[in-house]
Formats: sequence, structure tokens, C-alpha cells
Amino acid sequence: MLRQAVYTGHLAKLHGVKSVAGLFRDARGVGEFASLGDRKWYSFNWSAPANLNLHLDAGAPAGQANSYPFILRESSDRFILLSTHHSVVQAFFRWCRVEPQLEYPRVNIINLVSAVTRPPEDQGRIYRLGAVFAAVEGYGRTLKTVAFWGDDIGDAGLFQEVAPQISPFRTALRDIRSDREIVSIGSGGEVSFFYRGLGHLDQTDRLFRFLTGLDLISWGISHG
Amino acid sequence: MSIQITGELTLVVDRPSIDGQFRVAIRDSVAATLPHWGRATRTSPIFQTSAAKIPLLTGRRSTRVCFIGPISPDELPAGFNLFLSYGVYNAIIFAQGQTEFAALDALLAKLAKTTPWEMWELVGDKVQGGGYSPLLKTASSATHPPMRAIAHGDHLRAASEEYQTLLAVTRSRAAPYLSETADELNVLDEALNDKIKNVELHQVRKLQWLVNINAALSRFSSQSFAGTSPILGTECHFWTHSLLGIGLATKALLHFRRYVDKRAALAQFPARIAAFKSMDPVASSLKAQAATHANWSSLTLPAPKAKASADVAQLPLIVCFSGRDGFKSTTFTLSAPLEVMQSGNTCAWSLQTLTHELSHIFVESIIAALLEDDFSKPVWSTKILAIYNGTRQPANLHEQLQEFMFFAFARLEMEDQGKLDQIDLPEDAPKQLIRKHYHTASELLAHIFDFVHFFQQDPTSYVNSVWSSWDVIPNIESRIDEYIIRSLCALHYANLTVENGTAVSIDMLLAKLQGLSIPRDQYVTPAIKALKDRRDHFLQALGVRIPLIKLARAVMYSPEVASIFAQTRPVSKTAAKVTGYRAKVFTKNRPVDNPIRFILEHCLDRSSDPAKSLWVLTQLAFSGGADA
Repeated sequence: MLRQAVYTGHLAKLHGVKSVAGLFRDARGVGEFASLGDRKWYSFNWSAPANLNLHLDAGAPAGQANSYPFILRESSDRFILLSTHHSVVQAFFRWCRVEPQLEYPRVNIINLVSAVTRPPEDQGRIYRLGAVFAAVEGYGRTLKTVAFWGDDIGDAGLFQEVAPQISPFRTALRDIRSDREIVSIGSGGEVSFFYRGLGHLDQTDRLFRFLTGLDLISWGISHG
Repeated sequence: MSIQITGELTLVVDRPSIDGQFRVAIRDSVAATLPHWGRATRTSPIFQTSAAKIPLLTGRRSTRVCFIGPISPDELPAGFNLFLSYGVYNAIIFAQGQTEFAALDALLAKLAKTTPWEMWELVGDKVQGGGYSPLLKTASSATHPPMRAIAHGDHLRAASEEYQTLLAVTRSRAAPYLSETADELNVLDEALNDKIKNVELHQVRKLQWLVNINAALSRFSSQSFAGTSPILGTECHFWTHSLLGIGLATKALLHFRRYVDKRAALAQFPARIAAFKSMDPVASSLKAQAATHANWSSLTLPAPKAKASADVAQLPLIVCFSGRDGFKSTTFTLSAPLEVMQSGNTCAWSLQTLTHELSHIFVESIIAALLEDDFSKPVWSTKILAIYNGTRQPANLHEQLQEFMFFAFARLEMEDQGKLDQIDLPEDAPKQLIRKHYHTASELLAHIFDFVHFFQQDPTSYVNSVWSSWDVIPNIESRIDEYIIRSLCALHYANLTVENGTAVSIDMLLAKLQGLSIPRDQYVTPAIKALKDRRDHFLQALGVRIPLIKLARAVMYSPEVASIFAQTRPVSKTAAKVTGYRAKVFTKNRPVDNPIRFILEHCLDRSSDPAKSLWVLTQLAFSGGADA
């Protein structure tokens, strides 16, 4: 069973690959590949070779110091791949030799924050903001980045005051009802969440449908 | 150096024969005293500290018992046989033998100019003599203004004379122990005097104020200054504390009230609400606009003016404990239940509930600033009704908010009449309906104010606190719906702009109530059942009150003040333990700088613990030093 923990990684696209799940399942060192409750979510373990020198405390079982749990969400050629450390995900991409075909999206976090904070007047907010990291322009070297944490940042007057002056590049969204964080997402497709069970995966799906519905995820843009 | 409370005992003084000597005993409990209770028996709980040993009061052994206070325990040097109490004399030192006598003499000399004390010299258990602090012998007596003349035949005469006598008694007795109360009593006296002289106010109303004040002053004075010097001549009628009174606890109440008063005054609610008069009304009627509309999201209190705090000081309410009134505020008074002494460490009896009572005071001043004196004039009702009906435009934002406030009250009337779409409104409806629903509305607004400013919009601690405190009130089964709606309105403040917000608020309250662990709860289980069984009823009730919540969001929220109430000096690296105090331990130079945060963190127990309650009250009594 997949343990509850923070998982972090990427939303990405893999060009020229028919089945991302198949590719990862068949990779060397991958085991215990399983579907998570009849969803398009999968979990697996990757036993990384010792010479990769990851040496990360991944909470792996005793005697399996190089074994890392993964979560995969597949949707045609797009997917989300998460593990207990961002560098493990990167190492796994290198291990699978898929880096050249990988494409990361551009997620419009500025518009996402705005949509969550100020929904159309005939409807209310459907997510709360739990964190916002933003660039600040116009202050030169004196101030470059700000970060906000809270349970409902978008409803805070202080945030609303400074919102026009900042450019958010990462945010965490919370479920209105359970008041728990669903996912944190960055402008380069960085994704992380604290996995709480299968229901959490459904919430994450809904959230990504919300992003897609607002046309906030763009592909085919060079990242320079 | 730290001092820890380790146990509770009972100090007993008795005089078996009317012309005999007083005798002192230390017993395990009041129950152990009852079989020997005589006409002159008096007792008080005392609390053993880590360094103290119970003295043997037998034979011809000489013992000195010294009552000192008010003094923070951490200011006393180590090595004394120290006990603590709820009295103004909150430190009691027993000394036996020449070495301990010499150490005590040295301490008393050091305290000669700062802290009052009284000493008894015992031989065996008999009081043979004693002495007093030089402060008590030389203290100048309080000054009293001449009694105001009140005509014979005036209904207020008796109550007024009682009030002025009580004032003189309190001033005199407070002088050596709680001298700072004298100035506060003067401010209060002036405010009351203004009201008494106001010929437009009805005599009955004035009498009601006087009666309330007299009851509170009488309690404050007798509870605080019973057990002060001469101890044997000042009996407290809170009988389990008849020897030393509960002056330390009233000092804690005073400090808590002063802390809130001083900081909340910074909000300058009346001045900021008045500033709406110089602002243009919004283009279309606020009634028709959802909370997500830009007109609402941009409608907040105008910024406070710098350095204007001195103009807006709160009226210093008389504080006291009352077994009958419990937690209650009136125009001039603020009371807390006697149970705080035993159970102040629990959610149910925590002084946190005082923030709700203080919220009432702020809400009243906010409503008064919105309505102004014109409210009672017929022309005001006519004007507001015309704006409401769309036949007149509001002259400024203040008028527009007055009209919206009337709309919020009219919604309550519609619910009463069972007509949620439309009701007939007579010419004086604004005045009538505001008067009729004032109590209901101000109660809801007080909950919102409390939730937003004192609970920092944290639904878990808010629901835990209010439902725990309600759970010890008898016979409110028939009013559970009211309590549910109050909680819903507070929680909905944070969900006003959320999709399906009313349903979210109901789910949130349900989840928080289900998460409570109140043993043998009276009302939580029925409340959960009511929310589940009659969900539609509560959805509708909350919907009716949304205008009131929107109004609160626009005119009642001061982020500056909420921020001040949240702040504390961090003393540990983990944010979760910002106050970093150990229960029942007094540590030198660690006064509580934020009583609200302190109470929220340390008064969460389910079982009574008098020793911990004493620790909480002592910490509050000496919190913030002069700043409080």
C-alpha cells in the first residue's frame, strides 16, 4: 500500500511514446507496479542502482535504501510522475533515457491565482489558496520574491492589496470543504502533494480538469 | 529560577471561643474542615510550591506566617517555604527557626516600599501577635469627590447613595493593593454621571445602570479586598475563599480586560465608520449584489488615522466574578463565573469566553456609529425607507450602509413572518425592526467579531471554545438552534465568497462538532443531529443572515487589531509553541505578553485542575506589567 507522504515531481509530456505507464513499468529496477483503485493512477517502486548516489532518505524499508516509491498519473501522452524527492524523479527520467523526448508545460499561475481569488461574480470560489510564491518586479535588487502561507490567502485583505503588484509562480490549492491542501503546482509544471489516500487522487484529477477548463496549461512553448 | 505548584491544601483560621485567640491550621481540603466548622471559621485554598514543606504548628514552636502581595511568584527569592493563593496576598511564607526568620526579615525589608504584607506570629497554632508592611501604615488615604446631591423623592436616591458609598469603599481599599483602579473608577464615574444627568434618558434606565454597577462594584470590592489587612477583620463571602478572598483572580480579570481595551481601541471603529460619510455611495444597490461582487470585495473600513488612539479609549468596565451572572457584559460591567477559580484551565470555564463578552461592547459601539443619534427620529426612518424602496439615492456610503443594515434586519423580520420574498413595511419600519431584532443581530455580530478578531478565523478553536462553554450552561436544549445559527454565522464569514458557501459552512460546523471530545456532552450530540436532520432549515436560516455577515465584513473587521491580538514574542523555535510556558511553573522574567494566545494554548483541558487554574490566573495577573 502506498504510504502517506509528500510526493513531488512533474507534470510532463513524453513525445513519441505510446504508453507512458508501459514504458515506466518495463524499466529496469521497477517493481510492484499497480493501479491505484481502478483509476488512471499507478504506484510502483524503483530500485535505483547504488552508483547513482542519490542517498536520499526516502523512508524506504530497512535494507532497501535505494528503493523509491512513485506515483504516476497517465493521460494519453501527458502524465504526472511523483516520488519522495524531486531529484529522484529526475534521476528516473535519466535512467529511462527519456529526457530528450520530455516536454514540460507552462502553467499560468498568475491567472490561476486570480481565478481562485476572484471568480466570476455569479459564482463563488471553489478552492482556497494555501500558499503563493511570487516574483516582485519594480523594486530592483531590494525585493525580488515574496511568499504567502495560510489557509485561505485569497480572502486576506493584505494579499488582495498586493496581488496587482506580484507575479505568482507557484501556488498550493486547498479543498473548500475539507480545508486540506490538494496540490501545489508551479509555473513549470512542478507538482507536489501530501498523499492522503485514493480520494485525494480524485480531488487532484478534478483540480487538473479545472486548470484545463480555464486553459491554464500550455504545451509546445520553449522554456529557454 | 523556577517555582512549580505541586499541590493544593486548605488554610484554616478559627477562634473557638469569642474572646479566645485565633488558631491556624493547614488541612488537606475544605471537607476535612467541615466537621470542625465554628462561628468564626474561615478558609482559603493554598497551593504548595516545589520548595515548600507543610509546617508543623504544634507545642510551643514559634512560626511566622507572612502574607505578601500582590507579587509575581518569580520575583521571590528561592529558599522560602512558599505557598500561593487566590488572594491579593497571593504569596504566603511560613518561617520557623532563627535562620528562616532572618531571611524573611531581609525579604520584607526589601519589599518595604513596593509590596504590602501582613505577618502573624504563632506559638503552636495560636496567633500571638504580628505586624504590617510600612506601606500599609503610611499609605495616604484615597481622595473622594463630594457626594452628588440628589433630590428627595428621586427614585435614584437610594441606589445613587449606595453607588457613591461603594465607590468610596473601593477607592479606599484598592489604594494600597490595586491603586491603578482609582483612575479607571474616575473615568467610569464620569461616564455614568453624564448618563445620570442626561434628562432625555428615562429614570428606569438610569436605575438599571446603577443597580448593575452597584452589584458589580460590591462584588469587585468584597472579592478583591476581603483577606487584605487586617486579614482577620475582612471576611470574603465566597465562602471557600473566606480567609483570603480572590483578589489575585480579579487582578487577572482586570489585566485581561485592559489588554483587550488598549489594543482594540486602536481599531478606531467609530471614527472609521464615520469616514464613510465622506465617501460616495456605490453605483448600484448593495442589496442586489453577491458577496463576490467587486463592490463588496472592495468595501472595507477606511484606514485608521495615525496617533488617534487616545481619543477612542474604551470605557473601563468594572470586573467581578459572579456565580449567578457567569460570563456577562453590560454597559458598565464585565463578569466571569466563580468556577474560573477551580476550572479556569478547562475549555468550558476558560477566560477565553470573556472575548465574546468584550466583543459585545465593540459591536455595540459599531452599531451606534452606524446608526448615530438620528436613528430615533422619524425623519431618519422615512429617509432610509425611501432609499430602500429606490425612491431616494443615498447621499454617501454611510447612508447606503445604514440602508443595507436595515435590509439585514428586515430579512430577520421576513423570517419571523414566514415571508422571505416580501413584507409590508410601514413608514417607521427601519426604527421598529432595528429595535425589534437588535438583540438577535448584535449577538450574531458579536460571534463574528470574536471569531474574526480573537480566534483569528480558526474554526477549530472557535467551535471548541464556544460549544465547550455552552455545554456547562443548564437548560438551553430548547435554544440549540439559536446556538447552531450563531456558530454558522461566524464560520460563514470565511465562506461568504465560496461556491455553495452556506452548505460548506454547515459541513464545516458538522465536522468541527463531530471532532469535539466533550465528555457526557449535553448539547453537541443534539446539535449534530439537528444539523443532519434539518439541514434545509439551517441552510435557509443562514441564507437569511448573509446580509448581516456581509455588513460585518464591511464595517467590523480591523485587520490591524486582529493582527495585534495574534502577535506574541516567540520564545521557542517552533511556531506551534510560541509562548513556550510550562504548566504550573513560574519562570523569572517571563511575563505573558499576549493573554489571549496564552489562554488559547493553556486552557484546553477537559478536567478541572485548581492548581493549573491558579497558575493561569497568576500568569494573567502579572502579564505585560505596566503595559497591561
